[in-house]
Amino acid sequence: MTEFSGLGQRLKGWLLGGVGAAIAVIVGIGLAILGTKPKPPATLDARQSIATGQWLVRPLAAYTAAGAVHGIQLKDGRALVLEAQLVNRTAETSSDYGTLFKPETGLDGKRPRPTVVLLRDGVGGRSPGLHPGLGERVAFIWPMAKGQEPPASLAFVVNSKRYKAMDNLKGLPGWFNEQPAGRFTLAVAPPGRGGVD
Amino acid sequence: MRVLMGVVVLGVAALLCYGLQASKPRPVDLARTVPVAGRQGETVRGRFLAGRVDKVEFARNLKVPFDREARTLTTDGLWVVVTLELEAMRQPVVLYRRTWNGPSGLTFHESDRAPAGLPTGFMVGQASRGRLVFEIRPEAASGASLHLSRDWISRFDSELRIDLDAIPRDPAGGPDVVDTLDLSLGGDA
Repeated sequence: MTEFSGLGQRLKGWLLGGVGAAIAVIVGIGLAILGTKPKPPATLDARQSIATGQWLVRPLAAYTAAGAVHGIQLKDGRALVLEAQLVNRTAETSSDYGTLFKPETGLDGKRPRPTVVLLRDGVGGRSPGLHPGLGERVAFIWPMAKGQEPPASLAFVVNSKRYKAMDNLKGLPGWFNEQPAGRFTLAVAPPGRGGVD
Repeated sequence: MRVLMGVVVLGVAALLCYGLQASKPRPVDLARTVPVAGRQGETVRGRFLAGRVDKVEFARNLKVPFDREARTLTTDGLWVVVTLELEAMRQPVVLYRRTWNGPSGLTFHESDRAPAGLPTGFMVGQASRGRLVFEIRPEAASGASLHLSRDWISRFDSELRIDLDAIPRDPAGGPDVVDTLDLSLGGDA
């Protein structure tokens, strides 16, 4: 009799342990799923400076251009241009701004990386290295799909990276894990109205 | 008592593991470039490269040749033109990392706006004289050093770190900054 009651106790213990573990696993998976659910990026004021990990960004103007813009010949005729003031917040010269802005719509599905042009002195250097603490005005130029109508206003997502003192592969410092920091909306001027042709 | 002992042993083991992890050198510490220090005006010899900085000049604007005419380049900071001589020591060397390092640790790469005034390839027995152009923040002008290496992580290579302690100074002791420096004439480089 005592043996049976001992067995019952043990079974009860096993069952309780099993149920507890199952609940813990389910709660853990549920939390993980909730955690990976992308949150909508915060809405930012386009008239103010936006701080990302590497850059202090101030959007200046958005417009579409036809033919040529800032010394760049456009293959398919049209491009979307975003002008912005960029200040490098890191300790070293960088040109890691290729994915800083992402237009939400208004481009073809592939969303190629923009061509970035420095607007100082009209020399038009492409992919300029921006030095720490020195602000520069640059233009981000995305080609538009053929026959696409330019939107009247457009939302841009601003991305931010996080500093890691050592990466997992080589132990080198760097900026990783790009995440949206927010989004802002700018009116898009048609060709000829955005300050340049 | 046995349980307590177990916890103590576990704690000691965890501390030991953390200590090993924290004190272990990273791969980059073991293999990265080895600094070779020197001063402005003297020839600094690294493993593959010897270099000497002759002159440092500061300017607010830079006049450079552009499409057969002179063009003025402006900056929010300062332009620095470093005149130097470099020579490969054992074999032909390609030098990619040329940086101006300010006293607070800011690292300015060679400017890509001004035309290149120094080749990237160097030969043995053939000294190349040229100039490097940087765009820096004004507070990075004094107490800076010039770092030259083939690459930041060229394994077991040396990096020349030349202290720029003989920069031109104004009467107040700050860096002497001219309004416009003309590089379109070729200069002495």
